[in-house]
Amino acid sequence: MRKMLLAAGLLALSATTANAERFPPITDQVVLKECGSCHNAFYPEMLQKSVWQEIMSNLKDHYGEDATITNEATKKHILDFHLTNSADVTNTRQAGKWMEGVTTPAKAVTLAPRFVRKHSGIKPEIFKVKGIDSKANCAACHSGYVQGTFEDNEFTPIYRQSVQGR
Amino acid sequence: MKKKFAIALVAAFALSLAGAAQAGNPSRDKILSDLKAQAGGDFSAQRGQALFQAKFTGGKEDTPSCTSCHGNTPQTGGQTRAGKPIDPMAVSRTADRYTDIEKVEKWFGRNCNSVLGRACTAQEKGDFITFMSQQ
Repeated sequence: MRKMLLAAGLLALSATTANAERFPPITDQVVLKECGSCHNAFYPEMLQKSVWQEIMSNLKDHYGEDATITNEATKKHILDFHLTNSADVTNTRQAGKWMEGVTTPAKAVTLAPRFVRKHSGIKPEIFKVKGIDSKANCAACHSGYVQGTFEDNEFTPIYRQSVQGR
Repeated sequence: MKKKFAIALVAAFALSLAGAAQAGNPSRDKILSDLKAQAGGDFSAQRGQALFQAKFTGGKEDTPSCTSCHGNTPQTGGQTRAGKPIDPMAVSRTADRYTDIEKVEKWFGRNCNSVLGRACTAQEKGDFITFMSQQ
């Protein structure tokens, strides 16, 4: 009986992880420093190659801010990292998921079909709660963001408090 | 002899006080003296404060002021529009502020364009750092 329970438990666990998102954590120190000083570094698998190219060629107007990188070697390093691992280049499961429903390439992670689908049930005011502040602030709600996981049991206290009664 | 010693002691004490007030740091002093050579005049903490608090219309619409992201006072700290915390700008709170020339140029370069819609002058940068050094 005990063994059966254990087996059932394991099965349930593997079923959850099979549906779950799991990105390889970003360990590139240049990417973490340059992208991560203003926002959690987004996973390159979330957007297509052409979009990363566009983003990196227009850092002077980066979603309403100047994010210019003057060091060309640094810029190339960051671009290469994103191109190699972009949604339509890398052949991983999560990249495939972020390609689902893509017709014209979304110009921001928060506009990607996968993001929109996954957040369609979240009321707009949740993104304005102090401490969440922005749709781009992934880690405010997803405590596993940096590790590359987005499990339902990983929601942060601020998210859980914010959705209560709304 | 005794009098001379007393004077020396008082002088040393005064110097150490002045040093503490300005939170002297050789790298920051060098950045300021290089800026001064470019600007040609003296720096003013008052002008630096005015720059920090002013609202501009020439820059990007989400960032009309330094305080939009850096918090209302140099001591409070702030956060980026995407929610990342920013250490306080005041040297008394964040000791290594304005000590790395690359970092200083990188962020004045970006943020002056975002807030003012143009590059900051050496005078403005010097005023700003002078103000923050006294905070």
